Order: sequence, then structure tokens, then C-alpha cells
Amino acid sequence: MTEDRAAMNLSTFLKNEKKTTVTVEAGPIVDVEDQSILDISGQSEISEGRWLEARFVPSLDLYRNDQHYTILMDLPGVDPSQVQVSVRDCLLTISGTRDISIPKYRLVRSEIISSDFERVVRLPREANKDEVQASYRHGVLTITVARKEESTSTRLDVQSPDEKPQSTEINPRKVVS
Amino acid sequence: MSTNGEGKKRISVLTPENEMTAAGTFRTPRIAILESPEEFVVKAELPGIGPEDIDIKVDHGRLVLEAHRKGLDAERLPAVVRGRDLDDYRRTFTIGRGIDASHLRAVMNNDGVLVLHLPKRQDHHARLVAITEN
Repeated sequence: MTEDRAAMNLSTFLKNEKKTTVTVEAGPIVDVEDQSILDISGQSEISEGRWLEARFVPSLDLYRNDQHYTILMDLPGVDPSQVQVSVRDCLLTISGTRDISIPKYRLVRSEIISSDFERVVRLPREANKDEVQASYRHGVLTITVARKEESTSTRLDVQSPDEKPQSTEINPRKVVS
Repeated sequence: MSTNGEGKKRISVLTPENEMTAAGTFRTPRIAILESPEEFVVKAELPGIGPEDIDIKVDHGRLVLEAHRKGLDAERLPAVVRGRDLDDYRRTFTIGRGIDASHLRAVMNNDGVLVLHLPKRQDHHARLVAITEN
């Protein structure tokens, strides 16, 4: 999907060659809760006659079980010390940089993009932001975020009256208690 | 995409017979080729795959790289979003005469990138044949 969009942006660019700035995909935000994808776009400067500067958008998987959310992200060729994982509000951001060049070597062919990267995952409320762990092995970053104990009652207290009390009806634990 | 030309007999030495039918299950890894006066370096992206699951075969001027995925424990959890490739990888390279394939080196650190060092043949241009007089 990301590639399609990048191709679309490129063709838009080619139709209008005088443009020197083109919008490129900086990676969609993945929402764990409703699985929707929100787009954020970045801007990349290009001078006339130069090829579009592509950006490395790492692909990721999201998994969920009773205890954890697990994020797997392919970061081949990335020095793990160059990766930042941060949680702010409900947004988990993974960013860093990748450079596959070797000093004094000429790049003959490259399908691997060397650039900064950033991906954002919106965590659900049950995510415990204080319990985030990250590890890196064979080029795959694994992040686990613990899930909090059920805290639906606190959530009910702050609900505004015009909101549909859907969760109370659906959640069987609520019905029992 | 493999650069195998059909009809060349020597290619079949390295190409499994079922390659055509298996083609759908293999993915082409992304690569970068770098060059210095002494060697070529091929970097191939193989995230999630350890050195023990990678096969490199060199024969008749052709290098075949295959990587098989064992799978990670986390991948067996219930998935919410799947964006990563979970296929095996395969890619074929033609090695020119200027490369000394007998001294090929493969290195892999923990970063999911296989690094192949292909030294250049230093005597490549100096192969003169002496003609003796009877």
C-alpha cells in the first residue's frame, strides 16, 4: 500500500516537473485499537533533475494476547544503538537512521534505502506505558507493551452522558459485577 | 527476479528442478552492491533470519542465495496487523570472470543483513599465453 502511494506521488511529480518539493510517505500510523490507519506525510526536498529521494519505511506486525501487545519491526542493517523507542501519551514512536554505505566504497546498485525512519503506533488505553521492553535480533526489533488489568470502572466515571454506554452492555464482566 | 536465462545448461546445476513451481513462495531480497578497487560487496536484507538458515552456492559463474525462515515465537501470537514479509528468500547472481569466487567470504552480524565479499581477480588482465617456436 505504501508503495502504491509512493508511486502515485511520483507520477504526480513527473506530471509537474517544475515542482521542487514533493510529498512522500513517511509511514502510516497504525492504530492497535480499531486497526485503522492514519496517514502522516513528510516532505522531501528535491532539486530539478534529481530523482525522488525515497524514505525507508520499515514494515511491522502487531500482535496481541492477554498479557502483552507485541510489535515486530524489520530493521535490517540498522545499528540498534541508533534506534529510539519512545512513548508519549498513547503514541509509541520508533525512529532511527540506517546507512548501508561503506566508507571509500562506490555504490554500484542499491535497492536498500539509507535514510532516517519513523513509525508511530497508537496504543490502546490498556497499554501500560511504564512496561515497555525492546530487543533487537537478526535485524528485527521486538517491542512488548504490557496490558493493564481491567480498569473499565474508571473509564465509566469519565464518560460523558451523551456517549453510548456500549462497553457496559457488551463487556460480560461488567454485566456479572 | 532471477536472471536465469533459459536454455543454458550450466544453470541447471544450481537451479532446483522445481524452481518454477516454487517461485511463488520465494521472495527476492533487497540488495545493495558496493565496489572498491579490491572487491565487490553485496549486502542482502534478510531480516529475522540467522546465518544457520542461509545457503550460498557458487558454481559455474553463478551464485545462488537462499534463506529459509524458521519464524519467530511472537509471530504465533494473535495478529492485529501484519505488514512484514514472512516468505523465504532466493536470489541468483552472475559472477563475472573478473571475480575470484574461490575466495568469497560471507559475513553476518546480528543486523539481518548478509554481507558477501567478492574479491576481484588481480591478475585478470595479465593472462598472456606464451608461444613457443619449434
